[in-house]
Amino acid sequence: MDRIRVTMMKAMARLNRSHVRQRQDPPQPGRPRDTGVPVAASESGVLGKPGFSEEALPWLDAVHRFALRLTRNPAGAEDLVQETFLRAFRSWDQFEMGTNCRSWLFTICRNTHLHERQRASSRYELTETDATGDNVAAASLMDQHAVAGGSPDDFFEQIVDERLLAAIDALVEEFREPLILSDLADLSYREIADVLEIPVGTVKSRLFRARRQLREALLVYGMESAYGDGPDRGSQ
Amino acid sequence: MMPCDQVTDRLWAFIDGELPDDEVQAVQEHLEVCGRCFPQYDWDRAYTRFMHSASVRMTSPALRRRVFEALLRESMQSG
Repeated sequence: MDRIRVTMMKAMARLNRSHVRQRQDPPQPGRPRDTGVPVAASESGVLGKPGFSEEALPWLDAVHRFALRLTRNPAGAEDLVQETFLRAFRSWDQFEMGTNCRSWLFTICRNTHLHERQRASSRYELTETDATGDNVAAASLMDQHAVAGGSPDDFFEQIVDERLLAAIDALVEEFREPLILSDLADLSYREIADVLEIPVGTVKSRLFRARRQLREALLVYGMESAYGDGPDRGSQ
Repeated sequence: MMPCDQVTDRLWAFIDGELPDDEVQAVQEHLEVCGRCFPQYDWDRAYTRFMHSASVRMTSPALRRRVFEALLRESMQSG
């Protein structure tokens, strides 16, 4: 056990030194992509599986963000991340170097989550929500904010993380998954399609509707916070 | 110039960097002059900036340590 602890402390020290990551404003067009946390090449031998530290560990935070929103439970998410990386570690021989390790990890994470949920016999229902009216309501709210002299960035700055997470969690799963994979985990449309095993066109339609619904929820919350009585949603 | 409805349909793909190269310039040119589409683009961009900043905050050094420790155990037990 002592040998594990000493090895771990040395390895973690190296890992932490390379942990600082910076994002910059997205170029136009395009958004910033998560390139993961770099891991020192000298760590490659620590885990005994060449390439695992460099290829898989950098995506731990991204997998964690995905797991958090899949499980909606911090403790469950940490268990899921650990299980994901253990499964990846055991199956590392099956990973083809040079292919997309991030998508591979997300697939393992999602499959593990689905498997655990099935085992717990919890019911899994997907319900299509009606997006009719999303754009109309959102446009009205955005106009109201603009009339009051606020910029879009001003608006989003007032949204606290807890409210954002609650709004994401309120989305039905078929919308929540592509939104998390895209907007919190930075996967491309193609990568999301691979993880969820659905066509790219379906990814786009679900993602865009998820964003509309999420933004609508944030707008309602933000306007209530900023202007007290909430927006006039009009007759619906 | 590309009409407004076609630009609106492509805004998210443009912001996500997923629009084909031959359409990027057409959307850019439209946004530079359109008072109707630009505010929508401005909101969508603000949303993506907000989500990226939120995602950066959702990290856990303690979890990194926990996972790494589990992997080391696994490695030493199997090795």
